Amino acid sequence: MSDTIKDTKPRPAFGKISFRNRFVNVFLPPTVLVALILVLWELGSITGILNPIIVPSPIAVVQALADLSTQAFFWDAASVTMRETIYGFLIGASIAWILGTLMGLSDRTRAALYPVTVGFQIMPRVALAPLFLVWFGFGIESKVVMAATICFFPVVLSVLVGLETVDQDYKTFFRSIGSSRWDEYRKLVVPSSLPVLFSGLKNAITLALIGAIVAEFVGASEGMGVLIKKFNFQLEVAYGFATIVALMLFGLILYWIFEFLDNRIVFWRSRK
Amino acid sequence: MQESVGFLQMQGVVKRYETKDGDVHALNEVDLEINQGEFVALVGPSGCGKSTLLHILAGLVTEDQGTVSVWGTPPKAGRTDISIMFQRAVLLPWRTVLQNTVLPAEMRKLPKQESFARARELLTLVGLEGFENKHVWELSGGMRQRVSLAQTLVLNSPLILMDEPFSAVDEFTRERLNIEVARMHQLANRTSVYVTHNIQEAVFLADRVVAMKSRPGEIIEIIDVPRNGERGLDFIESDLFNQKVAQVRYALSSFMEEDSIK
Ligand SMILES: Nc1ncnc2c1ncn2[C@@H]1O[C@H](COP(=O)(O)OP(=O)(O)O)[C@@H](O)[C@H]1O
Ligand SMILES: [Mg+2]
Repeated sequence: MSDTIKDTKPRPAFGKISFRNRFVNVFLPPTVLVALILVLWELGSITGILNPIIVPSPIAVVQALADLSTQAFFWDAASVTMRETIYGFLIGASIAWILGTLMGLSDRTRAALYPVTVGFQIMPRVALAPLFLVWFGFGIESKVVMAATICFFPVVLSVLVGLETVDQDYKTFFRSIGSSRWDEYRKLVVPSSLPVLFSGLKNAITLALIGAIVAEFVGASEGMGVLIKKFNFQLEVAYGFATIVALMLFGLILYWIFEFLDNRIVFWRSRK
Repeated sequence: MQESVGFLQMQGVVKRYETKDGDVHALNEVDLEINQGEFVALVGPSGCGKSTLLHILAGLVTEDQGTVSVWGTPPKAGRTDISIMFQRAVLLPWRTVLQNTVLPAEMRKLPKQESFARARELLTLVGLEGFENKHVWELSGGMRQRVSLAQTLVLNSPLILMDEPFSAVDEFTRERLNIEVARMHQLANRTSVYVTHNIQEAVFLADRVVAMKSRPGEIIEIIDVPRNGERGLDFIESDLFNQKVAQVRYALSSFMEEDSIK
């Protein structure tokens, strides 16, 4: 067969050359940029252009971070904030998935639910934080609710868009082979919508972290938001910065988990 | 069940599509009868209603007027005795070649083991042995159409409908695939309806070539192409072939507008 030959050749997708290219093109540029900024920043601190009480030097931040990582109270706070973020995400994303699916499956539910959802998204939900405090208390619950509230909209959108992006030709094909609606949903619609769904989930997990921190700022007794406030009050600015850097790292880890799952589950995404 | 006459019947079939710019008269008073075991090709310029006709036979589009019956009953999407193959291979990227091939049988909840065995057999038949566990993106356009062909045949339906199945693949591959189609047709004494805008392709494959015109879509003429034995590449070089191609082209040309003559 003339057309079978060219496709049986192995591809050097994960060969050495490709890895080197990836390193040079993907990892090197941001690393160089960040290193450059840090060097300038450190120089600013050494020369006294930057006041260390207001902006600590990068080295001071790294030292503070190293110190924090040996402290039990830091890990307790981290564990509280991570739990708030993850529970909030799970609850928010689940509700969003159910809502999005309901909207995607019938025009009538969509007509009813969509305007309400958008209205809720437009409302500045951060302003609800004091209310949540009253309703759900000073503990972890009010933060979970805040995280869920903030992260749920991108998931609704991604579910909706995902359900809509199913190719019409594929739907016709499924009809022609006698597919039930349930089989069409399960075997065509859901897999087709996964790539978009994952982009929504990645968005949502970072938003959930923001929601948790904001709620902690408004009122909490434990968590990384509380730590940041405390350090700032004590003028321990380097420790405040170190906590923010740690938050960023935790956020990155959460994001990477979803990036990893995305690449694993939607293995066909980058292919044609 | 197997009366040889009127296996497939269309009478006075009319189909209009409503669009923003008014109705499109896709099919007008179409009468067509196809017998068991026949290979019928529909040819005509694009827009003459070939796909519409085929989709009506598959039960994917409903006619506005007239009667249609396949084996005595109106067509319905999902009938196991009708299989349709589309111009663009509709293969799921998250499934392997084998899993894609077996999909129509899976939807009908047919026994797994037999379906997979048949799918494997068909993949071998269309020249894809060893590619069962590959994914769609690893295949060329021609290979995808082969998978699509195997998928269309997996139910072993007595009626096979094909809508310009190879119009997007290169000429050499198309020739090979058409020889494959002719073989499959004869192998199982199937009835095939094949849509194309390529006259040579139509004459090569069909027992009868149905020439159509557009606006409104109507049948102009039906040209018989007598078959003596299996058709191979030698048929393309025969006088009969050239004569029939000329006959179909002549029938079509009287209705062609300048811009649609190739
Ligand atoms: N779903 C549709 N909605 C509106 N017009 C359509 C639709 N499908 C086909 N048509 C129109 O009907 C006519 C016949 O189309 P079609 O059956 O696809 O022709 P062919 O397959 O011969 O190219 C064309 O003018 C086309 O634009
Ligand atoms: Mg067409």
